[in-house]
Amino acid sequence: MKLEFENKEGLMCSKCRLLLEPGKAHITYLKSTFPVELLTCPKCGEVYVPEDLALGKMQEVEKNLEDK
Amino acid sequence: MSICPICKKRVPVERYQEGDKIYDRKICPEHGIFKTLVWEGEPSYKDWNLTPDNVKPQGVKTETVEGCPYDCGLCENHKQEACCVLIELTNRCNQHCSFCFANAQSSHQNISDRTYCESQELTIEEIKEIYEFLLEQSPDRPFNIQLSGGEPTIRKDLPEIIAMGREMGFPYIQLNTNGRKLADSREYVRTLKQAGLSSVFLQFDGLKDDIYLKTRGERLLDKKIKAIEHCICEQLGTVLVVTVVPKVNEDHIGEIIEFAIKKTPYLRGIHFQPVSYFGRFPGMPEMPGDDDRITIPKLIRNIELQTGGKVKKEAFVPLMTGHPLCSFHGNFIVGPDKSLTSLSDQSKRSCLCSKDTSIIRARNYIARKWSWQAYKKPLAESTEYNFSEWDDYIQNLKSNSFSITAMAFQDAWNLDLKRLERCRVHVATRDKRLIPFCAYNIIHREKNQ
Repeated sequence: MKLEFENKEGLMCSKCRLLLEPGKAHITYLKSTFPVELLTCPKCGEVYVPEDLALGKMQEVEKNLEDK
Repeated sequence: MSICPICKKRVPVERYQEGDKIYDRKICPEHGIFKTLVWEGEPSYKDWNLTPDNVKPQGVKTETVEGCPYDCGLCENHKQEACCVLIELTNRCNQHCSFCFANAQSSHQNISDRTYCESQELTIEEIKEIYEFLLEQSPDRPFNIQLSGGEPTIRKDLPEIIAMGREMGFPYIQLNTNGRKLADSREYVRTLKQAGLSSVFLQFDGLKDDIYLKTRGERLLDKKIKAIEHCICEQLGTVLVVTVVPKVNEDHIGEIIEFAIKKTPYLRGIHFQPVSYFGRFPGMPEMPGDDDRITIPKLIRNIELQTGGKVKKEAFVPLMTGHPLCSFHGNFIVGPDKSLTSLSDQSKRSCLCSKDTSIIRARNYIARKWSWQAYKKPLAESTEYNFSEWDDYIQNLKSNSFSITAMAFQDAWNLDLKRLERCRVHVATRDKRLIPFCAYNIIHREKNQ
């Protein structure tokens, strides 16, 4: 399946020095896992999490899982 | 420290273990020895009784003269800001329950008593002043509000009181009710929802009329079911509040949970309140014995046992923004097949990403869990990334969550002042004091009515 986004900014994996490529990653919260499309390193599989994602959806999930 | 249940004077207390049971023993020089059950069995007292994450109240109202629990409130010794503040709108009630924390007056009383009770109620102007005071005390994120009584739906201006609170800035207002008026009229429920009511805290002791005959003195199951139906029709989040009484409904916990799960997502949760011996309750021996108590660990084990293991005891964690011996909670996601997945994974439950204090997080938590949140199909925020399943997951967390919680109130026999000074459920009084709920019911209620 061809993914619909690309690495326009030329982001590289700091460890492998390779250009990140569009790929599928799996996000796991507690017992739920679901796939998302993110830029990943073709060698080590490291995933790039953009800032808006970290401060947006990720934080929203954390808030909803948060305890009192 | 505790108090003598007879003269209410402060007395020292000793906590000790007998087998797998933990007891408190106190001696009043005048009235003798009192022993009360605190804990029994698993989960263990040691594992549960963790150091809480308390937030000191912002305002001190009363001077320390006689010491805890007589100087409320709040005095400088109180260690915890409120999560929820109760406003008692009336002492009148349209039921006469055998068990009533507030010892509310029945409407069956004669007319002069009714008129007297009505004349003692907070006026709408006084309620506005209390709201203003509460906003001053919680400027960053206003307290959650519970409108209580008596039976608050007896007041004709209830929708106005709710709307005024929301307009003044309270994000979450819940109604503590027996549900009679909600059962009688769907339009009434709609009016409350339109006024801005966030959630209904519905007295619900079980699925058998025999239970209501014992706890409330009449058959009420049909009314409870009708009230729930009307709340569902109006998409008003509802929490079942179960007074758990030994030998009355302690064996019916599992079926109440099964019933509630079937009514999700509109039924947002169940809140168990093991019976406490203050206010009004049927004949009691001089001192409540072990069999008269439903302790937190016993309740947790009963939940696991009576749901056939569907809800496991590991799903529950202690309250950390109050005192751990006061309360527990478990969060779940309800699947399309009505299966439950626990979200209270104990090894991963601390989130450090929020800048809010623990008590503000707790207020938001309650507001999220107990209000109905419609499932909104997320709009695509990005054309570059596909996050549809992530969005689905967030929406699912919001609208299909279900909570099982409990609050073990204290009475004069088992009052532990270390717990009391960490209380996070306060009652707001006419003279703008905040009194921890148990202290209010044991010591201060009479003086304030």
